[in-house]
Amino acid sequence: MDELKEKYLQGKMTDAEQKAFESGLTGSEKEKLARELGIRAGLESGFRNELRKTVAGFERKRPRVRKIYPTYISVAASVLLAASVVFYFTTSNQSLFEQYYQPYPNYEVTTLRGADKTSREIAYSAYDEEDYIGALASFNVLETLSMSDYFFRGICHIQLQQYDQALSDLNLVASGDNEYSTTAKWYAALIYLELKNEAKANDLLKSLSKGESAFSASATEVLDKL
Amino acid sequence: MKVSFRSKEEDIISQIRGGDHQMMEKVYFLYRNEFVSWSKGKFGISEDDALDHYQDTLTIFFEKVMNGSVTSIASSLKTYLFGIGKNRVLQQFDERGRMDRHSDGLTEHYQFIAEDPDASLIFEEARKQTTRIFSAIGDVCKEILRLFYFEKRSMSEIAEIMGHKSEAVSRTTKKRCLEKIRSEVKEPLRDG
Repeated sequence: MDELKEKYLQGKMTDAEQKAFESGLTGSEKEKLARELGIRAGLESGFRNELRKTVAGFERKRPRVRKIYPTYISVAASVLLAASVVFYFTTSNQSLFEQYYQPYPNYEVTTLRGADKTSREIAYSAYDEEDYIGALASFNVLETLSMSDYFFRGICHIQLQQYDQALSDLNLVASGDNEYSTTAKWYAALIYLELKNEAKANDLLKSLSKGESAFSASATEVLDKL
Repeated sequence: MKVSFRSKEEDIISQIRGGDHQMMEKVYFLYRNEFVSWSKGKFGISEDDALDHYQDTLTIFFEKVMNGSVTSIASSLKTYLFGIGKNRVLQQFDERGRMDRHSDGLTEHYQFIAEDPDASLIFEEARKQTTRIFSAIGDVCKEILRLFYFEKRSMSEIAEIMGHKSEAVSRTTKKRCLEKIRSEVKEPLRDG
């Protein structure tokens, strides 16, 4: 009986078997089964909620998107801002770079451990493993690079503090109309901050702050800090 | 410009089935932005609702992969996910709202629960109480019950995953864990 009951509870009976089984149940047996099914439904619900929380947790790993805080800049503050730009570019650019910079996560190419990989997959796999030298080497042997390849190669250069090469890749991406062009502008702006190139950083940040991209709030915030 | 290759769907499925959270995260971000833009434009819903539906969609997909009811996808993964997502969005406009469809499924399968008022009351009360005590279940019990009831694993698989010496050990552990929950789920008060 226990074996039959378990088969029934697991929903493994055929329709005919289920009908026959149910027809032989007394009232109290039905109540016992209802309780058992309720417990199982509660467990499934609990596990489903945990999974849902895990999925929602992925959202927190997105690249930083900051809220736009209402700002009120008085004339006096504007004067102060202008003064602090000069001060900032002589003292604290690096801290802003460090504060805002983080390598862009690879959602472009999914790579598998142990599988046969092409050079492009090897590049992204190395990128995932934070092996930026290895990733760069693999990007550099590709015959043709897509805009996303240029973008991620640019990030590799940033990680290795090769800012000129990074700007070369990121400016190329930023100049076009592709899914990474806005993001490339953001990273280029951060590099210009690091290189203390006030004019170019400002141009890019202003352009980003006016748009509706994920980086507009952060760009506004950095401009405020400048 | 998109890179033209992706992991094959079956590899993705097998890694998720194996509990690979990194792969789940990658799948999550693969279509996140596209789904949110698409559902906002197509159904006129807010960004928050679109994201909520996307997360529901991925939860359903991951659950189906984990419990083995999806082992391959005839269409592309994107078509499959957008199909689930579309149904989720349409349910928002359904008068039944966003009920727990899985419980509905269970009562459809076991019709006596819906037909017998006493059984229905007992089922509902046991479900609610179990959900309430869920967070207090110990880690080992939670893991073995998850593998058995949520992932629908066989006892031999569970023994291997849990590092038990035999299936009998797994069976006894599962039984003990379930007994503990049974002891904490009280009978509902009934009229008469």
